Amino acid sequence: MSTLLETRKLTKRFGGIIAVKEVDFKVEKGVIKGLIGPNGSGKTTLINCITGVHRPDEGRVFFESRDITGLPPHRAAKIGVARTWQIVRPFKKMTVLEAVMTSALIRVKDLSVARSEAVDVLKLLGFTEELMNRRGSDITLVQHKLVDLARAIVLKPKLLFIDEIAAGLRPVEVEGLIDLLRRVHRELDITIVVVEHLMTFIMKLSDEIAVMHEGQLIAEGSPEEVAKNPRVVEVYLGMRV
Amino acid sequence: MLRSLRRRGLYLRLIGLIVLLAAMYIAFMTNKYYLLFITNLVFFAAIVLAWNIIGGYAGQLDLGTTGYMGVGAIVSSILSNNIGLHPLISIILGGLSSALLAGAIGFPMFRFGVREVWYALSTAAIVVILNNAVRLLIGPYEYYLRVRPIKTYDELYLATSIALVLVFLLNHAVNNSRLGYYLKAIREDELAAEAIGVDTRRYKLLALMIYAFIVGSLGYLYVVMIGYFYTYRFFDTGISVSIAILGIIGGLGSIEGCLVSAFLLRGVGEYLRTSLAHIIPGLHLLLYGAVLITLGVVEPEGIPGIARRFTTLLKTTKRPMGVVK
Repeated sequence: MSTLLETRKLTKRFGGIIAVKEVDFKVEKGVIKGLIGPNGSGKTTLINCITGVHRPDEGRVFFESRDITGLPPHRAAKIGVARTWQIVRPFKKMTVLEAVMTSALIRVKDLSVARSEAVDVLKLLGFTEELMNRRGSDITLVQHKLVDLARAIVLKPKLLFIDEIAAGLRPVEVEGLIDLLRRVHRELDITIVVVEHLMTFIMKLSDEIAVMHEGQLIAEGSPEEVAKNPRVVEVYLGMRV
Repeated sequence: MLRSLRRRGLYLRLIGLIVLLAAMYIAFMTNKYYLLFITNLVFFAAIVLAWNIIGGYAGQLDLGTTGYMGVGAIVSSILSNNIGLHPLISIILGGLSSALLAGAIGFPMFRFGVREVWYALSTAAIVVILNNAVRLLIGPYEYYLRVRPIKTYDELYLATSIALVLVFLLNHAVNNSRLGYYLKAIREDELAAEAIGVDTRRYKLLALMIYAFIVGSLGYLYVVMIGYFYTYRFFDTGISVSIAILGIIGGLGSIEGCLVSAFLLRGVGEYLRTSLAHIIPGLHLLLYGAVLITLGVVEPEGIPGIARRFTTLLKTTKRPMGVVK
């Protein structure tokens, strides 16, 4: 397996707070990697630094051995780094299909080709034709999250960051989501990094897990290893008495 | 099939617009006041449609319309009046100089992330700056057109109508292109658009320059309409704001909505002015304001929202009683 993404000593400060501190984060090609950690541990900031939303203060980001540090988000998206958002960012006045088409039009020049590609992806995610023609203002939270996902995977990325997609969903919906993400991973051959603090979700889905705490990576390994790691237990459950 | 259907829809709309323009002419051609008035309506409809590209599709609340219009008007008038270039060439050069100016203003603004209310404030300020800059450059005088390529009100109405049809077609071209989809994504959520690969700075700038080119070229028609090409009231923030209002009520990105709002609201405004202003001065503005506020409260999505309500109402009343879904 080759390394798809690597950060070296990545640091991001906001004023006096160090949100991400000298993180060396590696993603191998072809895996589903989980990134967990308590609230405020720096998971989303790490993603923002990799996808170009924030510019890291120190350290570098390498994607396919190419230095992409500080590349603006639209350039990152074009070379194959896509993402979804923790808080959905819907295109409310466009229909679901139009929103996904916009994304497809980045790769494809022709409108009708883009439309058929968007329809394919939406069908894979379980959207009916009626739902595709609804406006962004008229769909539910789960559907918003799926549209967000569709916008990202229609770009045919090599690496996809999924930021807290299960937050706020019902257990049944979460189960469905796990199957769906496995299918996306398998059928479209996309390496996925899932950020979540819902343990059951990430344990079931990931091949390997990295744990963040107060801006640093504190553990890495298979789900079983990570679950047994005393540092992780301490961070999640508090000190042993 | 979908494509041919959409194209046929465009043909129908185009024919509808031309029929409307012709009908307005036939109805009002005998009265010079009314003829100038509908010319004014058609002219502002074209300006609102141009604004639709930056304000409606790209979602940037631009209040600099008269700035770009004024620069285009002055450049094209000087070129045709004082230098003697052919009016059509002057119009295009006037539009280009507006677009260049917009590029020079827009590039640093978008580069440093000026957006939302700050974008609106900056563009409004540009109108004021241009007003003073131009007064310093060419003096506080009124310049009258000596060369008049358009001599009658009928010709002026025809020229304005052709301009409106061209801007209408351009709007449809933008709407059904990649540019249109990118701009709408920028309007909905700039960061999300950026993350799916839209170079937001570049496309905002492109939209701004297209809009400036159109209003700059239309400036010459404005000069012909009012007869002189510079006065101290030429760069008018009030007009810029009213253009933005018409575009917003038109539904931000709806071509037909913009046309309806420009024709209807400006028509209503003028009717109130002529019928009430001599009874109680200012009453017409009061009522016009009331109409705008009511529209804003009842239907924040503007004219397309009203149209959508109306069609759902028709659909639901058509259904037989007692049938659910």
